[in-house]
Amino acid sequence: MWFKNRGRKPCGACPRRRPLDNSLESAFEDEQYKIINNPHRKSFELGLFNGNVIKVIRNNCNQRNIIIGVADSRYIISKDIARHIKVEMVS
Amino acid sequence: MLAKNKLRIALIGNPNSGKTTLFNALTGSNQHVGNWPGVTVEKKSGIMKHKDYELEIIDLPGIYSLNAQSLDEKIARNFIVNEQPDLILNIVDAGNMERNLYLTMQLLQYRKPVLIALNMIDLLEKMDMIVDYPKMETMLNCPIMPISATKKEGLEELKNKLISVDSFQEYISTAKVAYDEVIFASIDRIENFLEAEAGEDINQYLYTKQVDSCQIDDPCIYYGTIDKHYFFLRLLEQDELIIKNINYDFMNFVNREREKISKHTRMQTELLIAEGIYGYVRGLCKDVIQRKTSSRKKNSDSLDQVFLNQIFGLPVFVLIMYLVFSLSMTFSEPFIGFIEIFFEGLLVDGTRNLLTMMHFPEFLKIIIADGLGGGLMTVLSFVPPIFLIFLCLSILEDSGYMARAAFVMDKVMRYLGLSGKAVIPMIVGFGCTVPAIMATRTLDSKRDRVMTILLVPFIQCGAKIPVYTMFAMVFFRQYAGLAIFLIYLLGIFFAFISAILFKKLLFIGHTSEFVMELPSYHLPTWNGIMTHTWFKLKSFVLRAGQTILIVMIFMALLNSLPLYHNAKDNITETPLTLSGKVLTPLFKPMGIEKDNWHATLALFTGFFAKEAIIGTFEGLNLSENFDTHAEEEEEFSIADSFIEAISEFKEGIIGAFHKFFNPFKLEEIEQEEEELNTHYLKHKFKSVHQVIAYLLFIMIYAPCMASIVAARTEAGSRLALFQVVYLTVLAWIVGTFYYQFSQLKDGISWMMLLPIVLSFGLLAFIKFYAKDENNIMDRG
Repeated sequence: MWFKNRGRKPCGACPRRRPLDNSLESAFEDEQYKIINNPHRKSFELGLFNGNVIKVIRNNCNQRNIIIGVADSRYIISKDIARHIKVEMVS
Repeated sequence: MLAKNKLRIALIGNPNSGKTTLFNALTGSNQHVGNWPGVTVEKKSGIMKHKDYELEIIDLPGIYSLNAQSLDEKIARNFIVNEQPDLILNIVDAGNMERNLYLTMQLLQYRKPVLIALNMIDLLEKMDMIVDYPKMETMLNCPIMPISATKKEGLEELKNKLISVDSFQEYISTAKVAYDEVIFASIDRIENFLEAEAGEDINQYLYTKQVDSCQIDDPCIYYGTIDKHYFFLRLLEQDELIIKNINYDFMNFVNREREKISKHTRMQTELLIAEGIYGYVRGLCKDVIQRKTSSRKKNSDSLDQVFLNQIFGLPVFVLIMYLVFSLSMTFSEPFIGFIEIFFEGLLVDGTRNLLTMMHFPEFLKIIIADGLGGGLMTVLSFVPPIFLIFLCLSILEDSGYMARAAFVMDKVMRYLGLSGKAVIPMIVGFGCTVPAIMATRTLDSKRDRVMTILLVPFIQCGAKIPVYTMFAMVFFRQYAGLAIFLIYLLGIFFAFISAILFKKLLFIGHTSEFVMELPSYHLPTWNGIMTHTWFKLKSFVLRAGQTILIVMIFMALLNSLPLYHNAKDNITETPLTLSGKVLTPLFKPMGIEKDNWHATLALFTGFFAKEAIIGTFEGLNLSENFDTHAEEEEEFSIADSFIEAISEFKEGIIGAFHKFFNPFKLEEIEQEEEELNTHYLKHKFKSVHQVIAYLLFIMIYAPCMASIVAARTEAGSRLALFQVVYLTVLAWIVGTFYYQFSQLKDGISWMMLLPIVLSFGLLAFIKFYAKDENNIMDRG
């Protein structure tokens, strides 16, 4: 899988930021992820519930928010929240 | 049959689900806009007349769930819970059913009458979706009406459905969500515990104080007012309305149950409950929706490639804002010209002639023709720019761009200690400060809300446009547009400086986390934007218009009451001249000279409404020309005025197009040059530096009374007072500093020290205020 993401830097891969982990904050753009654990109630109620599949639309190092797609909806989520949401890539 | 008297229907749904469009379609022009008690959040209600029935429909703010966080969400929830509407009309976006039905399921479990309006069904075909409505109705045990509010499809059927039942009680659903077993087991244990401990009078055991009816401004949910099962479920979720005043021992038991659930499922209880609802909704959607392809509106995503682009996003935002103001300013000019010529003829000259023919005394002519007539003309003349600004802002709001602006500006706003969402109230502030303060209700944290309320007055509102326009036309004729643009930029600059100051001294702490939906782009409907614009304009004109009229009449009256004759200056002193002269020395360091007491008075009246600044100058000028007026009465003809106004309008429109497409080309000034050179303002302000210092003061000082009241309602009296003191002192410092700096060529004056000393005083004031305010923020 590593070659698939060459040249694309998720925020977590930024040298000044946290190391790559399984948080939504470090997810790659244009990839689909399954929510493993989301402790944030508001985003949970918006559809980021455990087991749901989301798509990362925008995740840049120099922006404080990411844009994700949940079904037909698009959300801006601050990275402070995204950091606590655990995800796994859908192959 | 359903009772024919006014039944109340609450319209509730997710944001951007088409609630307001449906509300407009159902109520037409029978709408009333007011405020919810205790807060300045807009309350819209309207009457739906259908056959012999009159139903009151209340348009509630959009919410995603009943677990409200922001102020407007809380208002919607509190209304549903405490005001007991006869029916809840839940609008569901058919294209986004899964998320919308989450709220529906919460509403159904309250066991209140609910009718679902499944909106945007016209899009289902485009999205290759088929919905099995009968099956959905059976599963939800609730009537469903497929509609398209935009295309007005299914509205008659919806109206008929609303009046076709004997009682709305028929619309109470019995649908049950299959939560995790541990939740049910826990609810059983809580119920048993309560019965064992409380005995017969459960309410007496359950509450620490007398159970009373709940009010919208003090909401609560007491045992017995909603379905028992759902009461315990919300208790497990720690719903703030349910745990209010509840018995300590009982709450301890509930908390122990919550811990057990968390231990068993490794999940927070409230999230487990939310998961249960989503599980039910997903199952339902799978059963009732057939979908052939994945459907996301691709146009929205493509547009976002530009509007949210890392490089182009910000310039596009700036360009859009520039277009909004350029369009509003340029195209309002011909209308202002028309109004000034025609209505001055009709309301001022015409009335004066009529009163002369009827042999009215001169002071009454001043009050009626110049005060009332002139005031009305002034009010009408600022309608065009305000209308155009509100129109553009309504288009931006309805199109879905505002949320993009929040994303694009987030980085800048975070630097100031705010989240990107705070940019929306600021943009609204370009129209009027009052709705901007109201718009802060959408911000999640109290810290962000209060800080935004403090910063909004720096955004120059529409009411200041006539003031800047008049000064710019007289003193910076060739560069009038540029001068006004610079004032706007300077306002933003001082907002930045103040935000950084507040971040460091007043609101120490983290910027709130935020989650926000990016709605799909919509082509705004003509009806939608015109309705929004009309309501905003009407409220603005009524509020500001009243103040201007009162101020202008009051000024004319005060200035026509002689107190004594000043032999030294050979003038008759009036209450107005006297008070102006007493206050003027305070503004001497910023260049307002003794004989320019009109400027001081205008600042005072501007405190009531910014437009009154113009009213004051005009009123005082008219009163001073009292004698000349009497002699200068000319032949008057409405037809001549109209012809002149039309010809001016024609030229103005051509000029506006020319100016809009050639913004940097300087205007050729031939006409009015002489008139402007002899304008009365040129006699009051001796130098351009005095004008600039004066405009800087107007730009920053305390907002109008209506804004102060709104700030007080939203954030308390202390904050409103702080805002007034901070802004006025800062305005004085900036105005004085500029003027003294401009006079450096004549040598350093001791007055230069005043703004410097006062700056330290202002910092100390913020520090002093911060002591208590931080405690309030912690509690909030």
